[in-house]
Amino acid sequence: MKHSTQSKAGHSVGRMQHLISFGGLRPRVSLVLASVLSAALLTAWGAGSAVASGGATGTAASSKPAKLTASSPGGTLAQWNWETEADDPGGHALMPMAIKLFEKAYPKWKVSNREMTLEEQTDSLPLALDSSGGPDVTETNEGFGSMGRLVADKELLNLAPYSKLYGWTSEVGPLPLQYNAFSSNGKSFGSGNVYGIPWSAAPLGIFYNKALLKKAGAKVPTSWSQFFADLPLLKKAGITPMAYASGQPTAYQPVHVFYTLADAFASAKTSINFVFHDGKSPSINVPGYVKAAQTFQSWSKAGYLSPGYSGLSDTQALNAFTSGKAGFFIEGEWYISSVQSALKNNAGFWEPPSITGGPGEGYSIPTRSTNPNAAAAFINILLGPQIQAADLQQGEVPVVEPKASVLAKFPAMIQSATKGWAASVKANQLVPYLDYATPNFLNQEMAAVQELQSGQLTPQAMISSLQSDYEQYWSSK
Amino acid sequence: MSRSRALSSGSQSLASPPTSWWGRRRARARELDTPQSKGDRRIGLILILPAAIILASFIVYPLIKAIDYSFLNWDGIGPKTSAGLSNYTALWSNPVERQSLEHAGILICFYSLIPTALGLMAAALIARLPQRGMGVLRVIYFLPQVLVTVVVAVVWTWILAPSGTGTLNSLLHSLGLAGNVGTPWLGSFSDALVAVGLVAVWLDFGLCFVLFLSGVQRIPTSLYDAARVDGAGIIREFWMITVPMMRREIGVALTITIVASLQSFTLIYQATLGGPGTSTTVPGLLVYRDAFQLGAVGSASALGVALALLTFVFTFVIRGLLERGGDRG
Repeated sequence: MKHSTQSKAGHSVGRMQHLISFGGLRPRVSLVLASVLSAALLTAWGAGSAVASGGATGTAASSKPAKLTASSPGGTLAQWNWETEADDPGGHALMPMAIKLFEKAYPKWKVSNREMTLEEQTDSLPLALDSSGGPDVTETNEGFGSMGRLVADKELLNLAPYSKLYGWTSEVGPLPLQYNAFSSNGKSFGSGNVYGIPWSAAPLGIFYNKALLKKAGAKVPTSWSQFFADLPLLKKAGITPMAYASGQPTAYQPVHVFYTLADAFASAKTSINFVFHDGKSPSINVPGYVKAAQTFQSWSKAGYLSPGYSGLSDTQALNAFTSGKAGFFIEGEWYISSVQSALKNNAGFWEPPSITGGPGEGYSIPTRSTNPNAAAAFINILLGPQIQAADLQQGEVPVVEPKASVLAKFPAMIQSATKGWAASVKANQLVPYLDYATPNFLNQEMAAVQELQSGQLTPQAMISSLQSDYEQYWSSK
Repeated sequence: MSRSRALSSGSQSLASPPTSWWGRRRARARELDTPQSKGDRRIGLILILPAAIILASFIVYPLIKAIDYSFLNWDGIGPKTSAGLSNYTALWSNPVERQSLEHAGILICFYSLIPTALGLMAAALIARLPQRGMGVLRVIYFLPQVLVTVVVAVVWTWILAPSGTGTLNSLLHSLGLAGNVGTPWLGSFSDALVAVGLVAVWLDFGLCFVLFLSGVQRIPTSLYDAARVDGAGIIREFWMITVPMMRREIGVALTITIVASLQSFTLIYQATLGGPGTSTTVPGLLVYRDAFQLGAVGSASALGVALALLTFVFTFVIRGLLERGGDRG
C-alpha cells in the first residue's frame, strides 16, 4: 500500500467516473494532449488495434444464457477496463487476480486484459462496440452520457437473465443495480433492464480528525446535530473547521459537499426520484434543498471553509486535512487509504444515515460479444468472495456485503464506510449522485455552487435555477 | 454565355486595366495563356496534387462535414434528426454559449492586441540599443512559446494560488499589500478572466517581440536618420516609420495570435475549466464538452463552424487593413 500522494490523488480521481461522464473534466495531461483531432484518431486506432489484439474465438454469440462450466468449449475472452495503475491502483492490482481465478475455474479459457484511460475508453467505446473486434466484456461508465448512449444504440446486452442465473440482484442489492438500469431505448434511467454489474462501491462521507476535535472541546460526530455543533467550536479554537476546495484543477468538493448537506435536510426519496426522473414532476425545489444551500452559503460566510478555497484544488484540500490543519473533510471513501496512512488512529470516518454514493464502474456485455456466457462467468468471479475481500484489502468498499468476521480485520474507517454503504442500501437511504440527472447537470451544478458561495445567487435562486435547467432538459427530450 | 463574358472582360482589359481583384487575376491568367505555359500549368497542377489531396481530406472534407452536422441533432452514433437552425440560434439564445463568445472577444485583447502593442514598443526601443546580448534576450522572451501550454498553465496556477511560497500573493503579502491568504486569482469571479488573460499576454508577447525584432532590424537606418534630421522625436519615428514599415509583421502577428485566442482551450481547461461559475468559459471548451462528453455533435459543430467563420473574417480583415497596398521591397 505504498503509493505517492500523487498516485493516490489519481486513484481518487479514477473513482469519480460518475462525474467525468458528464463533463467533470480531469486535468490529466494525457487528456489535454489528446486534442479534438487526436481523440478522433485514437478512436479509429482503438477499434483497429482491438482487431489486432484478437477478439474472442469462442462459440457463437447466439448461445442461450447459461452458466459456464469447466467443460464448456474454450476460447479467448477479450476484456477491457480502465483500471490503469495511475487512475485506480486498487482495481489495477485486482485485475490479474481476477483473471487468474477465472482461468483456474475455466481452464479452457484465456482472458486478454486491455487497460486504457477513461478518456480513451469514453471516446472509443461507442465505435468499438459498433464494429467487430470490440471487447467480449467491458467496463462501462454509468449514466446517460455513456451507458445511456450505448443502450440507445443497442450496443449492450440486457443482463437480467444472467443476474437471475447467478443471483446478482440479491448480492449487490436492487438500488446499486438501478444505477446501471435503463429503458431499452436508453431514454429513461434507473428503471428497465440492467446493463452493467458493479463490483465495488463508493459512498461519500465525513472524515474527522479526533485530535483536533478534542482540542476544540468538540465531540466525534454521530448525528447531524452533533456535527453542526462541532463547527463553531473548531472555529473558536482557531482551527479551520472544514478542509475544502472549489478551484482547479479538479475540485469536485463543491458538488460532493452539496450532496452531503442535501442528504442531511432533504429526504432520500426526493433525490432518488429527481435523478431517475421518477414519479409526478420530480423536483429538488423543496425546503430541504434550499436549507442545504443556505447552510453551505453560511459556511462560506462564517469562515468554516479553508481560506482561499476558490483557488485551491482537491489535492490541496486533502493535504490540508491529512496534515492536520482542518477538523473535517467531506469526500468519498476513496480517500480512506490516504487519510489512514497520514493520520493513523487520529482519523475517523462518519457515514450519516442517508448518504450519496454509487457503485463503481460496472462490467457490461456487448451485443457483439462472441461469448456472453463466458463474459457473465467473468463478472461473477468479480463478485465472488476472493475479489470482494481483496477489495477491502485495497482500501475499497466491496459492493457485496462482507461477513462481519471478515470485516472486523480491517481498519475502523473502512469498516464504517462498508457498514454505512450496506445499511443505506438496505434502508433505501442511498442517494445517487445528483449529477446523473441530466448529461450537463454536473457543469450546471458546479457553476451554481460557485455562484452561491460567492454570493451571486441566493440559496432559493440557486435551487430554482438548477430545477429549471433540469426541466428544460426533460421538456426538450 | 461564356463567350460573351470573355468578350466583355476582354474589351475591358483593352480599354482600361481591370480594377477588381477577380478582373486582375483573369487578366494575368490570359497574359500567361501561351501553349508553353499551359504545359507548365499542367505540371504545376500535378505537383500540387498530393498536397491538395491531403488538404482536401483532412481540412476541406471535415469542414464540409462539420457544416453538415451543425444542422443535426446527433449523438455521434445513433439516429440523426434535423435540427434546422436551432444549433446556430443557440449561439445567441443560450446564455452559456453567448457568454463564451463574449469571453473570446475579451481574450482577443489579451492574446493578441496587448502582446502586439507591447511587442512593437519593446522591439522599437531595443532597435535603438546596441545589439550585444540580443540572442539571449530573444531566447528568454520566446521561451513561453516553446513550452507546452499544459506546463505553462500548471506553473501559473501555482503562481496565482491564494497562498504559499513563491506565489504572487506571497509577494504581495511581503510588500504589505495582501493578507496571509490573498485573492484566489483564478477562483474569483471578477479576476479569473483577467488573470487567464495576463497569462496569455505572457505567452504571446515573446512571439510578437521576436517577430517584430527581425522586422525592425530590416528597416534601413537611413530612414531614421532622415527623420531625425527633420526633427522627429521618438514617438513620431515610431508612428511614421516603425509601424508603417512593419505592417507585414504586424499582420502576421495579429493573425497568428487572434487565431490562437479563438481556439484557446488548453490554458483555460487546465487553469480554470471555465470556472468559477461560467466566468471563463470559452468556445473551445464548449466544443469539446458538447462533442465528447454530452454527445451533442450538432451544437459542437455549429460552434466550431462559427469559430471558423470568425477566424476567416478576422484573417481577411487583417489582410485587408495591413497587407494590401503596403507592399515594400
